[in-house]
Amino acid sequence: MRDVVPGKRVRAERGGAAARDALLVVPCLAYVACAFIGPLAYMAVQSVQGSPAGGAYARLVREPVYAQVFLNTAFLAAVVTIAALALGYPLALTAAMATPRVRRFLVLVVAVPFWTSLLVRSYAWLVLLQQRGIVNQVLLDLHVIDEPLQLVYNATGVVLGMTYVLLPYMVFSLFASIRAIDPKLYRTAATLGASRTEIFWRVLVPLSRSGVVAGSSIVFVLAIGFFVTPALLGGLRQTTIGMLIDAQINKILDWPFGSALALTLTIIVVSIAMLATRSSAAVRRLVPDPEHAP
Amino acid sequence: MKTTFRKTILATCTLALLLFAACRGEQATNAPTATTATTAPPRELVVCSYGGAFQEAQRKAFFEPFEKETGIKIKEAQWSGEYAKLKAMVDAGQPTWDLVTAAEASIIARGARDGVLERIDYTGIDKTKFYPEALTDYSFGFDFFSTALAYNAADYATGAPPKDWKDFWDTKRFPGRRSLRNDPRTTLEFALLADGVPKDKLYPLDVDRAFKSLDKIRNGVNVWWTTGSQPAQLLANGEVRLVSAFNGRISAAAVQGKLPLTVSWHGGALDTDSWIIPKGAKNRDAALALIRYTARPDVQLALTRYIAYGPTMPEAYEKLSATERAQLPSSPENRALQFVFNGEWWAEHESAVLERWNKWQLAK
Repeated sequence: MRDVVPGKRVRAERGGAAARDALLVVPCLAYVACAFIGPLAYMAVQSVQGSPAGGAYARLVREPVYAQVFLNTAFLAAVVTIAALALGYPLALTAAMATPRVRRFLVLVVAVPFWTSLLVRSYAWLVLLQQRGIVNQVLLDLHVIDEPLQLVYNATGVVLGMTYVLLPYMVFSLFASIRAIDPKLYRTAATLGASRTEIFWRVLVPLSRSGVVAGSSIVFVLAIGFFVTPALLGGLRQTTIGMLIDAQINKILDWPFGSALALTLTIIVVSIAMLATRSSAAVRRLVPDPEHAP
Repeated sequence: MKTTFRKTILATCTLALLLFAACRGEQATNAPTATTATTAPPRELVVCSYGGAFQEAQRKAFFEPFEKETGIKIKEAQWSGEYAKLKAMVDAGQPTWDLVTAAEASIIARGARDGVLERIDYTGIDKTKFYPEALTDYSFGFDFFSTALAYNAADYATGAPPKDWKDFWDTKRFPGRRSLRNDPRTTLEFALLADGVPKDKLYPLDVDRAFKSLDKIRNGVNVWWTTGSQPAQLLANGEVRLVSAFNGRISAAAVQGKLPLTVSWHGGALDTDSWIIPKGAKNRDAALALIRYTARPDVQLALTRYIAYGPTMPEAYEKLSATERAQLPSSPENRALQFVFNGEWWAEHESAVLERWNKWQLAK
């Protein structure tokens, strides 16, 4: 009988702590309510206004061009996410495993462009990739090509530019999760006879998957809403949903339709974020923890 | 594992938010602080324009001498013609701008329709001294600019340069890379001119025919530009040989880079830069004073010394030499080669045309 009481007290204390923790969240929640939920609700109301009511959504469904733009944008975001993961993983791994000095240097190298204006970074790619840009010039001088390559104002330019802009989000997420892995595990695995490849696939990858999921979902969600970089580096077919929304709100002034597009995008993004949180668990089932592996 | 995932998300989001906040902070400090305008003893006027070489020209030709003459202090702000911003400002009942430069006729047409603009009080201005298309009840046009064909004359040292949109569309006679604006406005007009529509029969636009004509040039266009500064850069870099462009940007880049960038006026789209007054502007009288100041031929001529945009008063051109006139889009000689952009047609059809433009973009 008596040993039930302490358990109750612990629970009660926990409840009190939880209530205090909840209080800490109030200012942030209030801010989010004012700065995000409120405008979002306003946008939702706006999107069904206009004549006829709900006409904006009817148009969205009726005209296949909008579904096409949504699909193109999602495809672009997926390509950028995969590219960022492929480039970011080796970099994050090197940084996490390096000596403190090298690590600080690598983190700085990733972070510095992060502090530069998006516009400047997108323009920098123009300078590199244009017809008489450095890349083409070098390739011409080395006689690799006879005519300048079209590297910008098309999908190539957009993917290069967006991957570069979003790479830090991926690297930092991966870096954090790789750093959190206890290095003793690698040594233990090696002692038990695992090759380097096996350590990579059976220790590193499963334990850093939270970083992979987090980084990929952040990059994908940011990429799907991009419009500055694709507008500068893209061609006719690289119209993104963000560019369409900008045009509706700022140029055409069809606010109901712009709101409908924006709300649809928001719903897609929120669904992806929720799916990512869920899939964190799903991935765990797919790639089992080494501790729980048979 | 789940907590690591949450922590990672949280850390990255916090970082992103901080960065976002930093950017907003930067923007906020750039914004005009005009709320104190009425209470301060010296009279003030908040003028909003498009920045860059254009606003600098306005400052030297209009703002500085106006301040000297009237003692009214001018504060400057900037926009990119986002009508939404203007409308939101007026709807909130607190327009921070007293006088705004509008370069797109559709802003004026919409503003008048939505009740966002003050009527211009033309007392003291002789309307007969202006080109009629420059003045409306809600706007006062103080200069003309043109969207026209431009090229680097160095590329055509041997052989004739392209003259008009028919030449632009003729990729056999005029090979080389090209750039057009990623916007149906003026681009549809150019497509129709290229297809043989006479310039006085353009409006109402035959949209079907324009898109058919665009199909023919589509694969010949390498860059679809989005911002006004792009075409001059593209020419200067040698990225393309032929562009459509705002004429002032081309002449500014030509002077700055000492390059033979040239505008061909054939088939150019003539449009005005106009003053508009947001409804409920606090310093309306001062705004009108600046409008009247820019309604003088000598003041309009002063602007041409800093940027190649032409006066809206025919008499001003009499004081210019033939070479000076040749630089201006609206001199009688150049005017005869162009058409006047019809903002009202666009205000009415923009939405439908843009939808079609988007569809056309994605077509294979």
